[in-house]
Amino acid sequence: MKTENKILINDLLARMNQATQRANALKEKTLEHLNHKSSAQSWSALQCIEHLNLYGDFYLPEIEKQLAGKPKVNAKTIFKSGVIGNYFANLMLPKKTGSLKKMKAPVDKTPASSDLTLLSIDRFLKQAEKLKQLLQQAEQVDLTKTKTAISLTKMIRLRMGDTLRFVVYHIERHLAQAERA
Amino acid sequence: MTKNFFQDLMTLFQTEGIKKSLIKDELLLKEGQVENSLYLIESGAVRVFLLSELEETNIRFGYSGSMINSLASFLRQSPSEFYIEALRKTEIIILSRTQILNFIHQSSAHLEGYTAFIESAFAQQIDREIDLLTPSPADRLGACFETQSKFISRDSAQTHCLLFAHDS
Repeated sequence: MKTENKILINDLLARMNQATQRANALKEKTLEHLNHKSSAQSWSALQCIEHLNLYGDFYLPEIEKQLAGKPKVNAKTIFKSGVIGNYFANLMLPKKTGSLKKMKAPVDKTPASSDLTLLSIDRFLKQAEKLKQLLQQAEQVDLTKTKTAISLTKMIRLRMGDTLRFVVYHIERHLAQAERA
Repeated sequence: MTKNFFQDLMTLFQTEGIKKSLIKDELLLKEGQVENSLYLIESGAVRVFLLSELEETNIRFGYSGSMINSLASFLRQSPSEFYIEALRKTEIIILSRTQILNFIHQSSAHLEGYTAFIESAFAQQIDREIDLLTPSPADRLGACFETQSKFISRDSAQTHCLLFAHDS
């Protein structure tokens, strides 16, 4: 993937605006519905949201830290995806058939199954606002040269542009799962 | 003066207040709502907390016998910054802002009692600031315990202060 910063950021911001609307729509459902698990293995809607919060706890401070103090670049600067980053980001998107590739979440990102309340959604909405701020800030940063750590392993670092894509697509993936739950 | 004020206020809670039962984790107030009530806790416990994108920060706890609400929102009639949540099964009595205001302005004795109450709350808030600014966690715990045990039982004070220490 190769694109101008501005085009990438506008796309991610539009996705996040939708994500906020979708999360607000979930708040209208009953707590019982939101805690319902369709099978013992599957997640409830609130577990999906809490899973996103656990990722946000890692990625938001990391993204903020790496963006801080970086020299400003033109919003027309070209972002070029890395091989691994592009793979991870695309892995989160639905397949051409519309279905999602099944994956297993790491244990530390698997939220407890009970005791979740609407607060999980409120916290998600706050994280979404924070992410939108960071995306706006990122438009004027070199997204290819700036790197971030990832939650999975310390062995590799991804280009900021790929991390932002991964985080946003990951949110979309689990919001879709929450809506089905 | 203050003693009569509180006795009369308790009577008002008992005679005109609305009783409500809360289950564990039930929210009494959410961020963004305007606080229009004062709550007297009959049994159980509640916490007042601030939600940020990364964590929940406890601001205050209310136990059996405490009067509690989201005070800045109540006074300013502005959206509350805080949530109030039942920590376990909790019984409360609710008085509305109008009932409280009528009560305060009912007599000069009530107005004086209210002034004394506000003054003491203000002074306590300064103690609180000092407690929070104490750099060593052990000293902060000790200071918190000393302040709180004047107002609530030693056991409650211990739990209360440990919960704060846990947060910091």
